[in-house]
Amino acid sequence: MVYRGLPLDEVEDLLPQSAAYRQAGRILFAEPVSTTGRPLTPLHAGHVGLLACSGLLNGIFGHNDERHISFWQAVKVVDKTEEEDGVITVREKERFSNELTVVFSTGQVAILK
Amino acid sequence: MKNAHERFGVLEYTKRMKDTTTRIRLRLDRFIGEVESEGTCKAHLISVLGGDSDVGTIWAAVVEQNLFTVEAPGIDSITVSLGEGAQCFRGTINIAGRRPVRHLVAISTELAKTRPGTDPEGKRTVLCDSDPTFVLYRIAQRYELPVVPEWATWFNEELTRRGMIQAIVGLGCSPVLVRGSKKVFLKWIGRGLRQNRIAFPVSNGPVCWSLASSFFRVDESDHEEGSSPDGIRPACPISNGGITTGGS
Repeated sequence: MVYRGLPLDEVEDLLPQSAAYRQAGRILFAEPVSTTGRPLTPLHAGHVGLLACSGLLNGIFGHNDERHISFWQAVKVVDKTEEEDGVITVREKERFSNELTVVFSTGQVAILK
Repeated sequence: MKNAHERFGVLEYTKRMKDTTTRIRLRLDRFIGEVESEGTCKAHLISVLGGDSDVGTIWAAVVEQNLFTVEAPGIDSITVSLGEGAQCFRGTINIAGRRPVRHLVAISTELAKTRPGTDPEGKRTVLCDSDPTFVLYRIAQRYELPVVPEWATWFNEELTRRGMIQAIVGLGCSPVLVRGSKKVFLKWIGRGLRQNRIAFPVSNGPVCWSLASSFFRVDESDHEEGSSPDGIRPACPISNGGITTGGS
């Protein structure tokens, strides 16, 4: 008996490296973005602000009751407007916005938009 | 890994036209589906392998929202559709001495919306793995929740206690459906901290996740029974994505 179909054992081993899974992995696994390194010059407030808003400085900060976990993320926002001039025209504008969600050690929760 | 044929399923697509019927059967290595009613199922992920033209046909059928039949170990024959706006990703697997094998991964709109920042208002999250740390990580990424990995067990217990996590049909993975919104999850976290059921880590710093997704891990123990000891594969009705065309 001879099997002439797909070599499934080899294919199964190679599947994790498939380009299709690599692209789909961004949706399926949403792997964490890691940034490590030592900047050549000290970061000033503007740099820190940009990094924080991008979600690259998420973590635990503060002391005592002000200790908190921060989570910054860029979110896509769609603004819809309707114009009626005989016909209804719906316009959608997509833009990116930054949101900060904070949880304090006391249990207080806040969302800053 | 040996005996992959015992782990793979079959995806069948039948296209009936005026005077011909085309039937395509492809190997299915991963599948996530949600049973809607008896016999019908909403597919969230299909991953199929085959020849160039067969995979192209399946891609077209996904775009046209056509129905497929899925058969797999542990899954009875079900009819599935990916619905509107499914996303397709194609790749090629090269094996020495053979023609390349085409690979297609199709993802439903609902699963695609679990990508971070895409649909933060959604209340249903389909996940490809049931590992508590992975579930917490993906939920946190989707809803921007400030959490730490140490809370994964607590979060999983809360989901189970409130019946907001449900296992769904899966091939080669253990998918779950998590119900709940950002508002609900933040309320749980706030209450958990106030009631000392969860606590902050001792030191300040970045939150590091060590994710051990079992999506590509093959469980050998499931298929030891019935496997050929000499590694000979039994006769398989599916050749390289066989197409059968005949009069209707």
